[in-house]
Amino acid sequence: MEIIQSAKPLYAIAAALLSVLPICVSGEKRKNLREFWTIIASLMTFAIVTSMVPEILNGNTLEYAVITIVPGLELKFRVDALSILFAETASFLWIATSFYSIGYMRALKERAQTRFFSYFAVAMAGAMGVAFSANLFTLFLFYEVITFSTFPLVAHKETPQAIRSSRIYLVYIFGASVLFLLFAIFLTYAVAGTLEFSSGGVFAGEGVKVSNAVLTVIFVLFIAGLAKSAMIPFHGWLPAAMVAPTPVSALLHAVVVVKAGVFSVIRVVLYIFGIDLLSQLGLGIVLVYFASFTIIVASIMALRQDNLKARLAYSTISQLSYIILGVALLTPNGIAGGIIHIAVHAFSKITLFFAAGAIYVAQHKTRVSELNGIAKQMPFTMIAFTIGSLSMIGLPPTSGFISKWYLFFGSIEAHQMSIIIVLLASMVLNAFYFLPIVYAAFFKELPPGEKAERDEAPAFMVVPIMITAIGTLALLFWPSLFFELAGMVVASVTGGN
Amino acid sequence: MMEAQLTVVNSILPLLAVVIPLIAAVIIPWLDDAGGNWFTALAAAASLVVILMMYPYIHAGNALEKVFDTGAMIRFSFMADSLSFLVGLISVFLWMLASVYGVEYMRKEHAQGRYNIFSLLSLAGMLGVVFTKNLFTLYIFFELLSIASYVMVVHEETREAKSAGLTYIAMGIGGGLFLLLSIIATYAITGTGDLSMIGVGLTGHPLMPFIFFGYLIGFGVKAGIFPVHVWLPTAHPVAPSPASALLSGVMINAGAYGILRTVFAITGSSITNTLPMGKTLLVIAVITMFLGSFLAIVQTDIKRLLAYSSIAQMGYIVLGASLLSPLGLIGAVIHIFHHALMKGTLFLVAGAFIHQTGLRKVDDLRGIGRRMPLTMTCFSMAALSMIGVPPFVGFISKWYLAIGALQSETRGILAPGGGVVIIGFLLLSSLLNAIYYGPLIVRGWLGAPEENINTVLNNSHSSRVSMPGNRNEDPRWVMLVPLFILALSTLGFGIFPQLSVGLAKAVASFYFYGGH
Repeated sequence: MEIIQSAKPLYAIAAALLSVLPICVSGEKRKNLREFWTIIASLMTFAIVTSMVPEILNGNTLEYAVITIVPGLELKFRVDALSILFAETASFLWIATSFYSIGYMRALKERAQTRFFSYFAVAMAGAMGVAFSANLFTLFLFYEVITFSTFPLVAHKETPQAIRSSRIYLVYIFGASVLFLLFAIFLTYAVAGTLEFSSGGVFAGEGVKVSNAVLTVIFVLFIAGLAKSAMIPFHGWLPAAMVAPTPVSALLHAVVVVKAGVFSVIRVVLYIFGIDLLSQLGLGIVLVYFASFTIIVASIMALRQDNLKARLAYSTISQLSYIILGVALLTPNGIAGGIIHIAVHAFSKITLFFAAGAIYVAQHKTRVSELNGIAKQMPFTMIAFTIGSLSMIGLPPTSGFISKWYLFFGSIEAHQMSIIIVLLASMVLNAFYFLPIVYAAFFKELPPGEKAERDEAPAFMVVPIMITAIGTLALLFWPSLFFELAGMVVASVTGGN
Repeated sequence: MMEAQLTVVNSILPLLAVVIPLIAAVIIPWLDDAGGNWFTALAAAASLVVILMMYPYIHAGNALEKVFDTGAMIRFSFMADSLSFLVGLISVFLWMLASVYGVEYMRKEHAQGRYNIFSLLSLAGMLGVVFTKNLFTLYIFFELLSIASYVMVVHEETREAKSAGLTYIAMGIGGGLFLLLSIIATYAITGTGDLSMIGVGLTGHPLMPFIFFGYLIGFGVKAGIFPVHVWLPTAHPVAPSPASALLSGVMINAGAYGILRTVFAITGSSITNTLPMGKTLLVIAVITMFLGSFLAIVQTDIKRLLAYSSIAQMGYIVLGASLLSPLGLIGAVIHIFHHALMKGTLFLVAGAFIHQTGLRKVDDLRGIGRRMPLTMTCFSMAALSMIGVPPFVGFISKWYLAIGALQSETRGILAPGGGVVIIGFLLLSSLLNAIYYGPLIVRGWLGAPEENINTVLNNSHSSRVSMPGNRNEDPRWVMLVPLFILALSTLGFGIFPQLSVGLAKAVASFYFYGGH
């Protein structure tokens, strides 16, 4: 275990951020060149993140302090197993999404594509920043980078509905972060004297003398402030944000934005408060119950959605709470399950969103009730959709089963038998809102007048769909990287070796 | 009793047997229909070869094993012992023959590529269930089997098929959840999911009865035992005939195999602690046996009749397990093997009737033997075996079940006189089998062909419906050869039962005498 000084995290952020320049310079007239830069940026980011993996697996931590603005406010990066797991997932899926976006945006002749690709790259830079933050200040900074770079992406179509949705988006996310998150950060600094993440929590130090009530308030403020994690009642922005173009929904609202939210929750739970303090305060279990409530209620809401993307959005709300639930159980298997679900859900849900976008591009259909027989036209897309659905339910042979498996044992370790019921109920609910889509697509008749001819979206879209779908399957059989990383996180926060 | 270990040999053969059909499934989309059908058979044959290569090890009393650790709690492990070997062997054997048969039978079907892909995925699921060492791997392949075989059930995409498929998948997923709960409880209590070690930890635990029932329901759904059998009589017959043969002959065994494994893993450590479970199983077995047979008698559709018969036969297997005696276990194990041969033959014959003449009503099959003598010969052999006529395989099963019941009585597991009662049940059940199989044989050969052939059902194979004539209407060799191989096996393994009985004895000695 040693700390290595390395600027690699900064490079990863820079690779994403700086690509904005050539993208803007290339502009609408030199489309191919512009898209070339997007691809290069995503590949470079992924390569830099990947180059850090061996060091992390050796048990080392990478650190890089950029600047201290005033004492206490330090822009500083630290790369540990948790960072890598999130950054690796997000940057890999960015590559797939880049290709997919090209197919999607061109097929639909979307407007303002330069703006789209620019802000997309900024959002990714923000995600890398969140992943590599060493303290709450840095995290907050990049968290807001994500907020403001995705705002124009939600408003992209500039229709009245898009504008309204983007306003809701900003009010929820920015509002919550200023009102609650920033407040919580102030209080944390006031109480603990530091904002630096540490595996035992920051409130455990010698000089910290503060009542449990204050700590509870801080915790509640954090959870409320991190609205990107979309726990009920802070979930309203996510279905609204579905007005954005599908690549945005796919990568940002199924992976980057929401995972930045749950990632921050994990940082707060494990690295600001720490397992011991939370179990002593009994707050972990409160969070578990809130997450359970979200899991069930969001699934029931999903059942009622006819718009495919809205259904997926509610599913995301529900699935994100699996991650929070696992971590909040504060037991080794629970934490591992939650963390692995970051990757599992990312691959599965991006597959589903990709499929939804492909259906829109190829058949101009957005509603679940319009999907009868669509597999006859789009077999590859719907096979991928089926794999994603099975993974959401948590059925083998898809990777969704792995996180469920760990969460079950995590609940047993925490002596929370009721959570097993919640997980089973959620599996059943998921089956109820995903399987009818699959069934209708494969076995119902096409609407009259439509031909059962192969009519897929462009290859630029279908190939990424197949890749993420294969990833969804493969994670079950070759998950060793993610397991190892999750195991390291567990070891560090539980004081293991 | 569980301390005794087989000599374990590190080998990838069990894994290879599972992986071959998986890889083959990926290749199917690049082949045309006829090529895909042959390729499916070829993949099953390749798996068969791999399984046969295990025989020297199994015969020498070794177990083959390959373990992959992917994470703290996740361990993929593959294993072959005598029980896995026997069930795996009959699975691929029947799969191969049914696929060859399918080359001709499926020729006019739609979506053959899809059928072949999911057939191979189901085979991989089946073999994965059989060739695994722990419950985690077992569950993954069990669910793969459930999901993949659903597509085979609904293949025809008729209203009937879809509604049968819905019941099937709903019960499959529901049963899967019970299974999952039990598996998780087992891991949590015993700290392991190793099939040969879970018994020790579970015995005497207050939750054990619940865990046991979870397994019984989870596996029971697949095996079609009472009261979770309700999907089976609709789902098995609606599939294309080769798929029916595989569903009723092979995939049903995934459930039976699971029940045997868990029951004997749990009871193996202490028979006395687990007597109530044995009693419960016995009651379920007897109900299943008679329910299946009584309902088979009143069926008018030949494939539905065969499906109900399968339920009854699963009753035999569970009965053998519930006796908790070595000979009873031998009976159960060999009946898995024997039932697959018999039911495979019968469903393929039924398919040949439907394919060649369009007839599927029991009443319409009068005199079918004159039109299709070779096919009817195969049917007669398998049906006689079902009734339990020596020297066919069915008789061997019943013999071991009967002496198993007596042994169970001497070992004090059944009350005095209980063995005789069980034998009475077996004989009564044979009588019932004779009541519904006998007339099929007799009328098939001797009955006058129906004059009114207009009642023929309309199905995708009805294009060749013809009035009875003197012309021989036996199917082409591609269908006939698999039929004959299977039919002759019901005779051959009855006259030379050494292979199946020998393997079953190894299973029994492992569970009852610690491998000696």
